[in-house]
Parts: sequence; structure tokens; C-alpha cells
Amino acid sequence: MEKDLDFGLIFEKFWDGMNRNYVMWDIDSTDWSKLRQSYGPAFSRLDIKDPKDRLMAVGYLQQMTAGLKDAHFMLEFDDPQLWPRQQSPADERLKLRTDYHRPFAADYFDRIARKYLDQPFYDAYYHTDLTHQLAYKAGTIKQQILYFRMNAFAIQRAYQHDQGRMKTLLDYVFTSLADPHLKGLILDLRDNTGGDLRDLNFLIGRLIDKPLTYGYSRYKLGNNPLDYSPWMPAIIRPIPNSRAYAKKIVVLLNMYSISMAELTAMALNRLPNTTLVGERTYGANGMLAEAVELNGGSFAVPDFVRVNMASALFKYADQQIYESIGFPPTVVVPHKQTATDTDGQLEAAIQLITP
Amino acid sequence: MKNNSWTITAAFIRILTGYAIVLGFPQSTIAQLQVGLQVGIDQNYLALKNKTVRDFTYYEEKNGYMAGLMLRYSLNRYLSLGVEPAWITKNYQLKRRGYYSGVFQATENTYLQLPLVFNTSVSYRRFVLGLTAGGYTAFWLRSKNKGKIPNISDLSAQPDGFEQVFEDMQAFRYEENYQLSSKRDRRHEWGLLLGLDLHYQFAPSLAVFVAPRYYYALTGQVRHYAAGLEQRFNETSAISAGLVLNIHPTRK
Repeated sequence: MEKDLDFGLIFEKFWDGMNRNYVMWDIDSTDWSKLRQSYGPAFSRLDIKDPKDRLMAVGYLQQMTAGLKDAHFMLEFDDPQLWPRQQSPADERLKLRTDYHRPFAADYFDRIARKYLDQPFYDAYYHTDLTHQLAYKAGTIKQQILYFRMNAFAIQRAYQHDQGRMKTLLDYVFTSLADPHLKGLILDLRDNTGGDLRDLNFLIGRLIDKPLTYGYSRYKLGNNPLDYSPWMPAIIRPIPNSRAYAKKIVVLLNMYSISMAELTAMALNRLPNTTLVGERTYGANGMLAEAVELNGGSFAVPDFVRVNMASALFKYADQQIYESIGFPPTVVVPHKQTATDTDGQLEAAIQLITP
Repeated sequence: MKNNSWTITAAFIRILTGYAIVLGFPQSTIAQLQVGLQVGIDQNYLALKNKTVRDFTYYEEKNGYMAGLMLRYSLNRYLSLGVEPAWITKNYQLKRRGYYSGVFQATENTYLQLPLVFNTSVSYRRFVLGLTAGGYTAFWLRSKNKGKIPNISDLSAQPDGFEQVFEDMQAFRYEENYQLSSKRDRRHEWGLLLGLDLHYQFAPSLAVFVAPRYYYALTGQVRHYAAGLEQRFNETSAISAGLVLNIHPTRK
């Protein structure tokens, strides 16, 4: 018979789930075994029916996980009365950055497109799921540069399932890559929240003619905290009949370029014709998958909290792990919003392609 | 039981020693040294404690090899004391089933093992049948992993509709030495053994033999580097065959 839920049991399930499923214990400074001794008794004293104690439990979990390196780590509480229901240590760490700023306003990229892109340009929306509501823009700048703006990655899914504006926009981008009149590509991944890993092949696979190794990944094979697989090469494979893109590529990044946006930038950075412009990225490079896929990653403590985290750790081709640190741009251009919507980062990108 | 491995091992050795003293030495009639060579095959099973069930994932036995010496000193007509130093592999594999079938990691662990055994036997014409029991210590020399696992960072071009994990992720194959770690891996193993011996004396000083053995580790492979660990114990069945030379068959 299932034991009645109490905070002692919730703590044990949470602690054990983390102990077995978290993929970064070897690079993390959090002493998880010690936390069991210090927080276990405190949880046992809490009453699950007492709203104050429920808040106390949330506070304890936040304290325990505040220093975790996995920037995908997020606690999502079941209790509808809790606000915010999602707690992300990486979001809190971001606020401590000296260059911290808020994301761009919701309509910022509409205004930027109207200001900088040649008329007409493409603008399309597609809702693959709640977390990846795509809003893409594409067009030319000065009739010389291909500009492609993505707020999240689900390109392949959108391309296959949409028969309208999104597919037209993507076809325009893919066709324009071969346009001899254009001198380069600006890929705007600022405020890009990440998404489908499969898009690496679908997008970057059009810019290369041979496999591109850009790093390594590793996940859990066994149940103990340090039971890891070997490091496996992270490879992007060219799509059939693709040609190497020989023109300049500039990737725009900021501190809200997250996960797949970071991996895309890191992969393109392996190409000699790519320049990264903007700010250091968010620092969530681990790969997400269902826990059953890779023996680790996200799990749930039923009726209390869902724990979202990476299933694999990523190491870049330079052997450095940028998790929780963020990937640095080649050319640093700080964030600055002006009343006239002058975009210094975009202008620096344009300057790099058409001096 | 395995937590008290030292206590149990010590008790076991005391019992065997007592048995030897009571039954052996007072009745000594024959002093004979046997020296043998043996080779064999084994199958190791990894017993887990504090196990967590992972969907579609399981450990499976794996075969291995052993080779070693057999040195035995007869205390009397029925009882002998011996050591059986051997090089032995204690292998296992981690496998997945269903959608993940084909995913595996085979681990080959090599140990240098030193069993201390008591043997009691009966003979009939040229045959000798013995029962062997004792304890052993082993040192984990090296470890090697060979596997085929899905590479999350090397995805296939197919967008969806996968019926098997390797249609989704490219297979990553590897074969590499595992670096044994003083933090993670307990390299000294202690355990008990039980076995049989069947000798056939085909010449005055020479015999061939087969010897099935069961080795039961009391200490696990995992050091206590964190709380809540899954502990792993070797349980090894082996059968060896060899040639044994009787030295100084003198009657006291």
C-alpha cells in the first residue's frame, strides 16, 4: 500500500531523485550528501497540510538547489497557490551579472525589423507547443545581407507541419542562402529561449558540406551520482546536397540566448567565417531529454514538485564546460536600448559584413 | 549481511580453523603437497543493494575466464589446506530492452584473487571427490568497458516516427579502459567460496581435476563517496580444469 505523503517522504524522493538523476555532480560544488543530513530532519518536522509549512518546504528546496550548476534546473510546484510556481536558480544568478538587463520588450523585434529590414520582409508565427511559440522574421538588410531572427527552435517541426507563412518564410531563408547577390547572413538569436536539438542538423546542416564536430556530451549510465557514459562527439550532419556556406555569418547573442541558441552559436563558431556578436550567453548548454531516454534528467515528486533539468552535460570543442558560465561572443557589444530603437549589436553585425 | 562482512569472514575462518584443528592435526598420517595449474571459465552476476529500477534497464551476467595455481597441503587423509591464487575476470553487462534494445555496456573487470581453502575429500580407486570451502581476498586490477549507446548530440535526420532509439539518435560505439578511481571504486574485495573437486589420478604423482567454485563477495565495488549509493557485489560461478602434481608423497 502506498505510504501517505508527508514531507519526510517528499524530501527522500526529491533528495534521492537528484542524487541519481542529476548529471553534473562531478562539476558541482553543492555537497548533496551533507544537505541530506541538514535538511532531512527539518523536512520531517513540517506538516504537509499547513500552508505555512508548505511555503517553508519550498524555501528549503530553493536553498538546497541555489548553487546547482545546471542552468536548465527548475522547480515547478504543483500547488496552484504558490507564486511563482517555477523557481530557477540560474535566473536568480543571472540577476547578479554586472551587465544584467531585462529581456527586450515583446514588440522590440517587430520595431527593429521595420527599421532595419528592406521592405517587404517575412514575418511568421507558429505554435508548435506552449513553450515554443515561434515568432520568426526574415529579410534583407541593404539588399546585401540575409537577416533571420528566431525566438525559439522548432524549425523542422514547423517546416513539416505548416503550409502557410512559416513554411514560406523558411523556404525564403533556405533559398536565399544560395543567393549570389547576398554577402552574408545575420542570425539573430537574442532572447532565444532554445528548443529542438534536431534543428542543428536542419539549419546548420544547410551551411556545411561535411560533418561538423563542435563538442562532446555525456550522460548517466548507472544509478550512482558519478556513473557516467564516455564523452561522445557532438556532431552536426549536412543535409543531402548541401554546400558549405562560404560567406560571412554573424550570430547575435545576449544573456537570454539559452540552450539551443547557445549550442547553435557554439557550433557555428567552429566555422572560420562566423563571428559572434553581443553578450555572453545564459549558460544552459546541457541537453534535455525524457529521463527514460538517457537514465537521468528531469523527474517528479508526485503531488508536490516537478524537477526539470538536463539529461546530458555538454563540453565545447575547446574542452571547456560553459554550463552556468555562458559562451562569450567574439565581439562584445553591450546591451543598450534607445528611444529611437538604434540597435548597436545589429549595427555591429551589419558593419562586419558590409564595412 | 554484507555490511558485516569482516565479522562474518572472521567467524567463518575461525570455524574452518577449528574444524582443521579438531579433525585434522591430531589424526595426521600423510603429509603431501599438491601443486597444480588450472584454467577455467566463469560467469559473474552483479548483485545490487539499494537498487533503483530504471525503466527498460537491467544488469545481466557475463562470461569470463580464469587461470591460476592450486597449492594444497594435506593435513591428513581427509583434510587439506590450500591457496588458489588466480587471475580472474568478473564481468557483467548493463542492457536495455524494448524501444532501447541494442543499448548495452559490457564491463570486464580483472581481479587477482587469493582464496584460502579447506578441502575434505573421499577417494574411490583413482577418483577423489572433495568439498572445498574458504574465504578469499581479491584485488581489482583493471576495468574495461565496451558499449553501444545512443548519442544525444548526434541525431538522425529523420524528424519523428521512430520505432527504435537508434533511428532517433546515432549509435555511439566505444571500447575503452575505465580509470579506476580511489574515490569511487573499492579495489579490495573480500568474500567466501564454496566448491567441489573431482580428481582423477592417472599416474602416481599426477592427476587431472575439475573444480566448480562459487565466489560470493562480501564487500561491494563502490566506495562510500556519497550518501544513498547503489552497492554492487560480485557473485561468480566458475569451473576450472587442470593438472596437479603430488610432491613428496611421504608417509609420516
